[in-house]
Amino acid sequence: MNLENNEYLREIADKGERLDQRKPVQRRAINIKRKVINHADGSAYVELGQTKVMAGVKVLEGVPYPDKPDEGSLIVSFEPTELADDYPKDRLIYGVEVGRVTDRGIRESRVIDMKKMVIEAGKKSFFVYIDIYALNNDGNLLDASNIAALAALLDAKFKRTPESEPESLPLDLQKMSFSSTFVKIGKNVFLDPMRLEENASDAKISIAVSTAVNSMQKGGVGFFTPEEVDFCIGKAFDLGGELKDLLTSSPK
Amino acid sequence: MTQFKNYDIVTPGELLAEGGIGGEGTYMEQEKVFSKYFGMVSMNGNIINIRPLSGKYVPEEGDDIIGKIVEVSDKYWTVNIDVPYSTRIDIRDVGFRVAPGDLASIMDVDDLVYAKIERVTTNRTVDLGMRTPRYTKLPSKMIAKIDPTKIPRLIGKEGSMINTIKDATKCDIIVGQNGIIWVNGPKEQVDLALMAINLVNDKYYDPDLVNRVKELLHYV
Repeated sequence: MNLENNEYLREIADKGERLDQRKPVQRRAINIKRKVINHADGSAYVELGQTKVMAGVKVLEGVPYPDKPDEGSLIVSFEPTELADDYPKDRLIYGVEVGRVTDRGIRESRVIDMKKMVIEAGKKSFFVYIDIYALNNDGNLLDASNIAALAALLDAKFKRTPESEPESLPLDLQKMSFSSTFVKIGKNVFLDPMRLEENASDAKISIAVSTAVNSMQKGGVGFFTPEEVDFCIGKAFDLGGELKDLLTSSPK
Repeated sequence: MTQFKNYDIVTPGELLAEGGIGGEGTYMEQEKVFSKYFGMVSMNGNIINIRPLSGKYVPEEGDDIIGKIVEVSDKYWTVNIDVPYSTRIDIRDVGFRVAPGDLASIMDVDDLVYAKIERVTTNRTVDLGMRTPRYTKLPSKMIAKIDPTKIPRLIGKEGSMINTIKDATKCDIIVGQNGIIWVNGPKEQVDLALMAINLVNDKYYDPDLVNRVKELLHYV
């Protein structure tokens, strides 16, 4: 028997209240553990409340794409594990979306200088693979995956040639884009939804910002008014700064 | 005689008593009583009963349960009560007047119901009944779930635990034997009640649980 409590959630959401006594624009506690997989080039484990995500980075050689012969490439994949959710149906719904949205946030912010990832123009370049695994889904996998992917990139070390010393990825830390996800339940907008809130929500919007808005993704059947979208973008900039401090100060 | 007392935790195969009488959840071998489950001792005079600490709900006749309507048919409602068996409320088993074919006007899909288990047949189909005004459709409020084996702990001796929570939080609380709990009240009070229910779920092994719940709720 599922305990979705949709009607109760919508009832308290009309008064701006939430199931776990958070304020409308308040995130759950974030716990970041870096360097958790020793055979990956970079890795991180992120807990956002009960949502648990692990990300690993691997840098491998490959043939550059014909339209960008002098650049490396970024490939993000997302995999919900069997234990992440109760029903396979649930995993199928977000399985594709989370990977693509995380990919877009990182790609469009150009945090990795891909021009420096080329070995021989048109023939050989480095591919940065980010593999994200959802270990538990309690809502807002988008934000958790985004932080995990960035934390894993920060620590990633790779060798340009088999003999050379390991070096960091060519990252521009100013351009790191942080995602903030909002849901609309009834008339109110809430940050960082839990799974029950996601189920009860009308619409969802995820915004990744660095110094500018890098990506946006809207889900659900409901709508956001222009004022609400402006509000969300404004909040996303404030929250992005907080997340950046949290990530850079997290223990290595 | 046995050296065990109430709320002691025992493991499967543990020797409970040499001679004496084993109750529920025990087995006898060469006049010795052993535990069948990983569970908790509850003494009833000289009889040792073992209540398992986890497990699914097994429907028993006479239990009051909370369920959710999943299907409306011409002559019965199909109800999900969190058991792996087929469960129905037939219109012959309800106390109110309802015309066949017009069941959705009274209780529709996704409505919560409080009902009694009337019959459990040998092939494990369960018939629910709502014969007295005590059993009704419930408004959609907060529902929570705890392990059905911990329901006796939540209710307490002669209802002491659940009455404490009800008095301290001023919430309407209905407990189903299948582990589903329905809570209604103002938001802050519902949060408090849920905190207390979760405490019972986590600290079920504590013999002084009533006082811990009172402490949590600042209830004297």
